[in-house]
Amino acid sequence: MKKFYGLVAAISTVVAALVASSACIIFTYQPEEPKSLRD
Amino acid sequence: MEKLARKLARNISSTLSYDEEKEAVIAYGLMALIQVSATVLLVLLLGLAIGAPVEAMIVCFSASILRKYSGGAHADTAELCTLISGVYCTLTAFLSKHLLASIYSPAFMAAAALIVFILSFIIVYRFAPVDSPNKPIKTVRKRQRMRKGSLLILGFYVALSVTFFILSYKYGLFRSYGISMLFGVSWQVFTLTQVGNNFIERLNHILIARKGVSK
Repeated sequence: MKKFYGLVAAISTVVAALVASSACIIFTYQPEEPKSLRD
Repeated sequence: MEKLARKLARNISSTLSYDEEKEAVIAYGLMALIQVSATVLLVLLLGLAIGAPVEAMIVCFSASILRKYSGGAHADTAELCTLISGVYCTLTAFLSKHLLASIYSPAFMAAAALIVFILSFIIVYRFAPVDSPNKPIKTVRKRQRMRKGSLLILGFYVALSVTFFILSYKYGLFRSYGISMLFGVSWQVFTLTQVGNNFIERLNHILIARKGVSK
């Protein structure tokens, strides 16, 4: 289970980083952006 | 959707002993994955139901790719966002394929595309990027980069629209593809304006109030 969670965490972090470089989260809802991803 | 993403992120973080910030980043990434998957799946299924899946996906992606750089008005919840996207993409895909493509005229299409793209360039240049309180754009450099990206994407859409227009002479199905793209661009550009923002705000109030009453 730990390996699976690790994989999900890695994929989610990459997606979060990709979304952080854009103006918004692609569709019309924008959740609060984590502080570490703000520039 | 947001609750589900946060719950999953909490489980992952407690199992892997991550701190709060890492948990927030995972929740944010999961939220993006869940919302994009749910919206694309809903649009695809509704598109299949009305017999226009390609047109529905063209509306969806032409709006969302531009939105990545231009930003725009936001729904108050992810579910509302998915609902608005699903309804708009399905309705316009239906109109494109089953109504407008059958009364298609090259002259009218060229005029409509010209008007939509000229207005889009003006609105994007004037307003993009439109940020939100949950993701403010603070630096001038990022604003300039987002605006430049939006204008480049619009330029790419113009080239694609011209390609669809030329292909439509030989293959009829490109008529509805071109019309769908105009609907996608129009919606996205509309959400950059004050009128678009007011419209989404109104939808937020009506639909969320109704949800509250039904509870």
